[in-house]
Amino acid sequence: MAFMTLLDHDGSRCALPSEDVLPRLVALLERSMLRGRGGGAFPTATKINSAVGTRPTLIINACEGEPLVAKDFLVLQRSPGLVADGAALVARAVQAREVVFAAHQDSAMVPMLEALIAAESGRLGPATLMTVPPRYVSSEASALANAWHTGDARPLSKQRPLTSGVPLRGRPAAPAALVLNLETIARIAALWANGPGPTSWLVTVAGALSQPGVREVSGDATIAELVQAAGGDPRSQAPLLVGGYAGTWLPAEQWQRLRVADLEHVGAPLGAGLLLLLDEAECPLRTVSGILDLLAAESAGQCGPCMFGLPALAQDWRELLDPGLSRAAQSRLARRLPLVVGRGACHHPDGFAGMAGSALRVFGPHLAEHRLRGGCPDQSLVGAA
Amino acid sequence: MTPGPSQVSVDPISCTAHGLCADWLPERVTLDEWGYPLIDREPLDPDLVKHARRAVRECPVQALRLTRGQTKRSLTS
Repeated sequence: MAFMTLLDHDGSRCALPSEDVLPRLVALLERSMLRGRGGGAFPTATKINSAVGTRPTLIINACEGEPLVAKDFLVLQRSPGLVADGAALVARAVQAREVVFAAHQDSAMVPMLEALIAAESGRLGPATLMTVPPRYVSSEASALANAWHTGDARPLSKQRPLTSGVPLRGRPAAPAALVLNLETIARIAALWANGPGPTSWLVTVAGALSQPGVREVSGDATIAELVQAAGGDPRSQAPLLVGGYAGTWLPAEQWQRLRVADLEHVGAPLGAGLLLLLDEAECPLRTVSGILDLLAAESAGQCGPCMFGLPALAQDWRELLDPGLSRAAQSRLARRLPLVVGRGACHHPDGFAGMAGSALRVFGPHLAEHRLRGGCPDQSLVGAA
Repeated sequence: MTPGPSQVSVDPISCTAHGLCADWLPERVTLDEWGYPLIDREPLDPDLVKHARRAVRECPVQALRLTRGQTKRSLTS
């Protein structure tokens, strides 16, 4: 492999020194410029530095909360040693008070994590499995910290990083929490063993394809190649949703010219790694509507702008598809979409607004045709609405 | 640099849309259509600070707070 693989790792284990782990780890992470693979792409060195001296609870996020994405499952299944070694390294580096693996209740991760915790007690010490309800926001970092301390898997308001303390409601702040995605943890172990080198990307290709699934590729892999390898048409004229449900849309003429490494530079970061290719006959506006409905329903219901704003905006979007209501709906969207950004305790409303905004930009021409004809362009190719 | 507070901010979880902050500090707080505060991040002039402190005290659920400058973006994974 030309890159440092996670999925085809040979199973070798890291040497785990008991001293000087922190400076070596931070230097390694700074040189390699590793960024988190849970969706936020936050620089891992910075996050770990912020935990120094706090004796944090280390929480490894194995929830894989993004629908359709399955990469963390595969890393845990194929390379549990990397996961254990990465957790052990970070725990030693920051002198974690405890190690917790978080997963959704009843998920396939649970038995694998139980086995890992039992098998790796020598390296990890006593670690705990925490399960949370399978809701979209329950795997958000502060939701996991909240769940650990109170059992309530809903995000917390944050004025400072979680590594400054977990701001519980109605009680004194809990000690620091350091939350890292499972894939990020595995990459830390791979970097420790091999030093900095070309990274790989775990991409989940889904949608109008015969062989959807996770593929590990270098940054030079083209999106078209990935689509083709997944049994899709690399010359499809359908758009692509990049990152996750709260991701960014790319029209065909754009994604067909891009490599994986280009995505963040065109404003479509890979995030949790989802590439969702629509069917050419599928109305993207209706697909967006379905996703917005889902995202609105996943609000934790704690913050006004999210719990009231998202359903209202999802309704605006539905009205966008009705020629009689469309113009009024579009102007309401233009006015109200930016208003939810930054006004929740977590980034859920931001993601909702980002994806909808991206869709309005990319599908502008389609929307105009929709309004004119009462349906999609090339209506003859589309089934009854 | 002014040492004093320069902005109000709201804890969106504690906030239950009583709306008093918009009454006490209309220069910086308006309400959205559901009654939740929209905060102008323009720094507070020194003469507004006492009104901001009043707004903070009057919030029935203590959701409003005074801060110095932009709050840090949180670390999330």
